[in-house]
Amino acid sequence: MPGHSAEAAFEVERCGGVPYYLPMKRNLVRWIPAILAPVLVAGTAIGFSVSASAAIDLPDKSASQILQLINTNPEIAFSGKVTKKAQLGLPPMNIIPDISQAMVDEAAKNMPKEMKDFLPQASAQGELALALEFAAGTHVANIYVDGTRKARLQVLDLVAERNFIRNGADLWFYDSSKQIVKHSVVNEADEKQAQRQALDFFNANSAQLAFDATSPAAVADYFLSQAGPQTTFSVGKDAKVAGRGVYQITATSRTAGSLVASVTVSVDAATGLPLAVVVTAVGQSNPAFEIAFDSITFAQPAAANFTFAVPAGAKLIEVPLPTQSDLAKYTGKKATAAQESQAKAEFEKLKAQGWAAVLEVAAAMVPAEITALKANKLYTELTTPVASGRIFSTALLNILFANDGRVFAGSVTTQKLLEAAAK
Amino acid sequence: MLNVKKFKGSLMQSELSVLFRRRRTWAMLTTISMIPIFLAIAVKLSGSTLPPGEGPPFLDRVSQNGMFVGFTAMILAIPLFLPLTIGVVAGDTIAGEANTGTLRYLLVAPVSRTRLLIVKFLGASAFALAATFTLMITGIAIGAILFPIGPVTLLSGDVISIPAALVRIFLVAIYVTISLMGLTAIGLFISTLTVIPVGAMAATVVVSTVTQILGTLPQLAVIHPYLISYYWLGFADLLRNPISLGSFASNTLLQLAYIAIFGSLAYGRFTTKDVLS
Repeated sequence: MPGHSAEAAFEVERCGGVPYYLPMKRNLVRWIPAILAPVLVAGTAIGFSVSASAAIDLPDKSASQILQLINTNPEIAFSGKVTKKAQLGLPPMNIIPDISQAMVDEAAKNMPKEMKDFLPQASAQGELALALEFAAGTHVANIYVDGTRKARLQVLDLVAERNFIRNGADLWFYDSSKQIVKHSVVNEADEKQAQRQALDFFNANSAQLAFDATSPAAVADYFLSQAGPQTTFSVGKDAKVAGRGVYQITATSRTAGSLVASVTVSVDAATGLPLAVVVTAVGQSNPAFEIAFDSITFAQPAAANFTFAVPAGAKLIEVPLPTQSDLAKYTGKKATAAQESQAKAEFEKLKAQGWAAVLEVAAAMVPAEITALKANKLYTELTTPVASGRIFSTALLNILFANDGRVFAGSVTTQKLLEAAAK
Repeated sequence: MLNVKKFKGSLMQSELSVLFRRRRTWAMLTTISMIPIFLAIAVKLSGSTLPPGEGPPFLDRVSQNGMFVGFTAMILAIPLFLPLTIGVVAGDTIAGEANTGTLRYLLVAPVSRTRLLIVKFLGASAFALAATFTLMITGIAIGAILFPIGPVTLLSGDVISIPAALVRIFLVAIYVTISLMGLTAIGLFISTLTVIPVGAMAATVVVSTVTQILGTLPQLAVIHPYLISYYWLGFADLLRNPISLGSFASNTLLQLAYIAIFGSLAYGRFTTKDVLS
């Protein structure tokens, strides 16, 4: 039938080359890749994460043995990438780093009142902002270590970088976004002497210690027994961090009112280097603070990683370190017996409180920098008022700036902190 | 017997020649090249040096070293200008042909729909390559004309020679091109859904914008690594010392995943739909 075939030919063209009488099946077949592709992508992604956290079984070790395993050799060399995540419950909004207070005020003036909630309330500049920025949020950094004299922390910011470098006697800090270089020179002779003095002091007094300081096992056991009443130590399942087998040791707080629920340290089975630390807070399912290696190699990093020359256009700030004669001003004064016993009593008091220890700083002892902070708008933004002062509250630490000038700090609930301050 | 190989080449050639002969393509490339030019002129005219740390990254270095014009322009262009032009080109691929009524003539020739789809994707990717290189080359050229050029200071503070810097600039342009390929695949898929090219273009730009807004919401941090724009600014890792290729690899994998998903969606849609125009 010629008429029929003409119609069919039209239909074939209409369907773009696919004859109309082909069953619907063929159309379905053509959607199969669209269904398979997401499955394939998801499967690959999951496969990667599963292989990274594959089960591993290391020879069993007790908590004491794991503590003894922790690396104490300062001449270790390694390099790797570290990720730090913090969920401290700091208010993330309304603080914009690196904007001057004048700019914030100017913006507030020009904005309608309704928009006020969207405005930054305070600037975060200077050392305090740097400290807050480091404490909160997520950071990725490369670490290079070659013994005690060569080390570098390369903080990988977005389109920026901060470097902390020690190369022999030179200490460098470089901030690429601000183009600032800070440089200090360590007097290595002084440093060696200080180390020697500390060692001499330790050797001279080790006989008075309650344990045999020359035996790592004795030190570990003593530490565990002292921590016993407030802390439960447990050995977790063997795990993998940065692709290496690790022992996990967890210290769980037994003190009521403490903000810290537990601290877990993952110790590399082969080298004893701690590869991850996770701190959980009471009442928070995600870790409040965690830092872990993503990758690590135990080869000596190339010397080029530690060399630094001030780049053109950067501002160089020389920061002198305290010298031996500066320190002598302090060390020259001998503490009186009364001061010594007071310090000892303070320490015993803190130890008895365990995880719920509250540190009290008398008004006269509060550094001028902290007193000056109160003028900063950031201070009012970050703290909440209470009857006896203002509280800076995070998931792991609460600080009370009392009206009478004293400062109380502790890893305890605000309730406990206020009680301690009222005593 | 038709020489298939020759034919395949000619389809690609014709696609590229049509794309790069369009006035619209040249208008977009000219606009892109205006970004570094305006930026450099503005810095030159203002005369005052910006205090480091204010304004977009690298802007304060432009007056000291013209090589940075390209980098600064790239950072400015990545969030909006480049995705916008990709949206126009990728959104137009199929819907544009359908709208002008040329799609069925393309398919009357013995060209499989799959091959046409691949050629369209490669054509749009070629535009992305042209766009990023236009931006970088214009940036370096205008920087060299208006400012002194010299060894480049990397983010890590190390200084590299001009030839070494050019290698890094080349890598950055490749990185950004790859960054845009996932979006190209999305645009291609949207383009198969409609016969109105403007709709597909707008939808592609909306996808890029919405993705970037989602990327700024801290509450959605869980999904951030899967967003198409997650590594867009990661090209800065190529400016570190030692050079960090981690984000290059991660970005490529992410974009490949998007190409696989939206490419196969486009295949499913385009090979089963009725082509009426």
